[in-house]
Amino acid sequence: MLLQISEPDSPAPPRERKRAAGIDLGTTHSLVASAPQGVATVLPDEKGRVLLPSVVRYGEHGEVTVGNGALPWLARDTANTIASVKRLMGRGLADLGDTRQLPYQWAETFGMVRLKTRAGEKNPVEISAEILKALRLRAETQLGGTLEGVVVTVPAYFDDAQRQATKEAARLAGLNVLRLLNEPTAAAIAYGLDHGAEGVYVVYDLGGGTFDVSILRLSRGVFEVLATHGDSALGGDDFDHRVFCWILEAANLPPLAAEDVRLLLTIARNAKETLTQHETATVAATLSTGLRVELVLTAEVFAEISEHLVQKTLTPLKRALRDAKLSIEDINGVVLVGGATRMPQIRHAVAGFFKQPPLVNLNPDEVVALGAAIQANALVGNRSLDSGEDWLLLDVTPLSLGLETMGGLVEKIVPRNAGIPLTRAQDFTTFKDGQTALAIHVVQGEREKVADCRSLARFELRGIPPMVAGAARIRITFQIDADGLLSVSAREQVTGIESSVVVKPSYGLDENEITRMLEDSMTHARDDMQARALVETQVEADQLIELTQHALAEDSDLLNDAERAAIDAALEELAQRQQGQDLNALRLTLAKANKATAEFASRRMDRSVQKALTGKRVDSVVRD
Amino acid sequence: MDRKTDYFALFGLPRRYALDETALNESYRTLLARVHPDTAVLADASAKRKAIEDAAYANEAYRILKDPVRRGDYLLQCFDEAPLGASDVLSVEFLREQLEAREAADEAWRAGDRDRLESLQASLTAAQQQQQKVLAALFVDDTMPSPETLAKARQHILSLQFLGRFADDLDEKIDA
Repeated sequence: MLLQISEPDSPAPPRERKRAAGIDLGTTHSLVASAPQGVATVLPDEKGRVLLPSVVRYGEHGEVTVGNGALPWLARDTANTIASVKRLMGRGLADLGDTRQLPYQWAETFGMVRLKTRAGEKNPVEISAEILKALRLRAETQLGGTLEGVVVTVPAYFDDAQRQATKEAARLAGLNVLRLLNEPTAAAIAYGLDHGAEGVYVVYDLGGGTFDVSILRLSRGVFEVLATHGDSALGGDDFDHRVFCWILEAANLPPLAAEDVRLLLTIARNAKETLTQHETATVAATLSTGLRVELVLTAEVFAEISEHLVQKTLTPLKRALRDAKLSIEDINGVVLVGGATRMPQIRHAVAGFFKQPPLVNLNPDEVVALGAAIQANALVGNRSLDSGEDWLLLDVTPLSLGLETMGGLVEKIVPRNAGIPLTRAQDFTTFKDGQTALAIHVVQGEREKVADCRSLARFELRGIPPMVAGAARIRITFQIDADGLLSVSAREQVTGIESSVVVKPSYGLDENEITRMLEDSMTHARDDMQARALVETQVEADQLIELTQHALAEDSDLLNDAERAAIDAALEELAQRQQGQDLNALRLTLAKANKATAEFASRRMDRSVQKALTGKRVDSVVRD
Repeated sequence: MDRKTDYFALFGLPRRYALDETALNESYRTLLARVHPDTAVLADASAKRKAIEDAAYANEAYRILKDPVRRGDYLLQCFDEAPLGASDVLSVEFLREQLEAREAADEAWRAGDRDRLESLQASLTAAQQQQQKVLAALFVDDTMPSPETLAKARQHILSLQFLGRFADDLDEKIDA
């Protein structure tokens, strides 16, 4: 029903902007932002909370709870409530070290880890997809419709397996991924555009579970990443863990049950956060055994027990500077990103290293999502309407890529910090007479030995015609796209025989598993469609309520008391229904409310036309 | 974008060894702004592929021209010479000189003599600049250099490569 009346002279409605969002899929919490009017804002949930805890719980009745609703279950339902799933992305059991530290039940598997939950075995991609679905719903509710596409951020130091896993999770959540964007780069966009920064900046990004450092040159709208380094298994979680170990030691605790581990980890995190503002923090808990723990942690002791973690972040800083061929004097500013950079010892260490205080005039939790939103907005083509001038993003690949050669050594094909996208080819040959096949093993990492690098993929080039050793010419080509994802192809130059793989990481998911997950999501597709229809109807109801109220404020004199009461009642019923989950009931109520306001709308239309006519000189009306 | 264009022409630069870095950077950015895959996110698969390939070509060209050794090696190939390879050897004289410098660096490193390492680094940087100056005089424009000039250039590029590896090694020693 048409309640929104535009004045005959009012400007045409703005060109339809495409809905796009930026998603920061974090270890501790995740968030979604959008830049619908060119200015990026984070989108809160219905209670006004911006941060969605990255916690997923598989409940007793098949329900999946994400975020704050799942938090209370962390200590109570450990096997079915998963936190920090980002640390498991693209990882095998062997990568995780001591898995007894984590309160989950692991399934036996070769590829990526899988957790046993009451909803069956779940891999990190599926669990992450639940978080992404929650954010998608939030964004679509608030933006009033389906998302055209999203930019999802990843730690710059994520390897190929971790990136592939992230993209897969987004696909599973029904999102169109416009781009995977490196987190420090996203932060630099948000910071740089906001402050009109020019020069060389370092982004120091210590998140819940990952550490990145990127050095960028910002110059007239170009964000050029000069070098990036990091540690994809170092973050705020590790500081919590230090406090946790300190509690165990100081209180002399026996081995703990899984729920007590969770409880103490949560308490450790609270203590860490308290020490950001205070000199001491109280650690108090009652364990499931009835044992009572009461301790006081001072800032000084905390700094001491976490000193080696702080130091661990300085090595990547030095390496990044060296790769960028820069020294500390060349750095114009240091931007801190990630909640963990609130810790005073981090700020001191960074200030000491760079001999300048870090820039802290932005919210370290939000800046990555904001940058991703700005990028998403630009990628869907809303850019031309933005106030800022055109800008360009030039990123790099964080880790060297190579092939296994004789003796288990790595032949590097692509060095780290090379600009992407890129294509790099190298020729190889056979080493035996009559050799007809060549095994190709793609690895990622900085070490010389294959065993010390991450194995990404293995494939074979077959059908090489028999030749003497060294006669065949096999060109192997690496291509990295703008998401930082790798594909490799091999071609025998004489015969033109070809073989290629989009790298399916050894620690990733095999094709069967991806198919199974997609099938699973199909069976949930009906639910998803229902959920989407509900959201859309809720948005419609919202608009009707808002527009009618606006109209009532202006033109309530067009209605008598009875008519007014009928409209009020219809709106109230609609407002109530709108909170519920019953789609059909909501549709019915919406139709009723539309009917109840129809007469009012048409009277307003008449009045507005009259107004428009009487307010004008005759000639202008005729000419129109 | 024509991916057969030679790297110098791609960035509108003269084909010579001396490099106007500012012009290269400007031109690189202008080109990337046009061909980067970010401009083709909503386009069809073939346009996306073209964007990746074009941007990859420009990135490779940029990497080669920016690097003093690779730029020299590329110039050799522009003049129909073979790229540097395993059959290229440095003069005994140069090698002897370098061996001494390396020994001095190892010694300084073992002794923890940072000042000595830094003074070695300074003379190394000077040596690199000297090599580049000679190369700039050998490759001045598009005209085909004489075989003698090419052979000479080859030696200097090789020397520059050698010095570059030494410089990386020194950097690591100083950082450690």
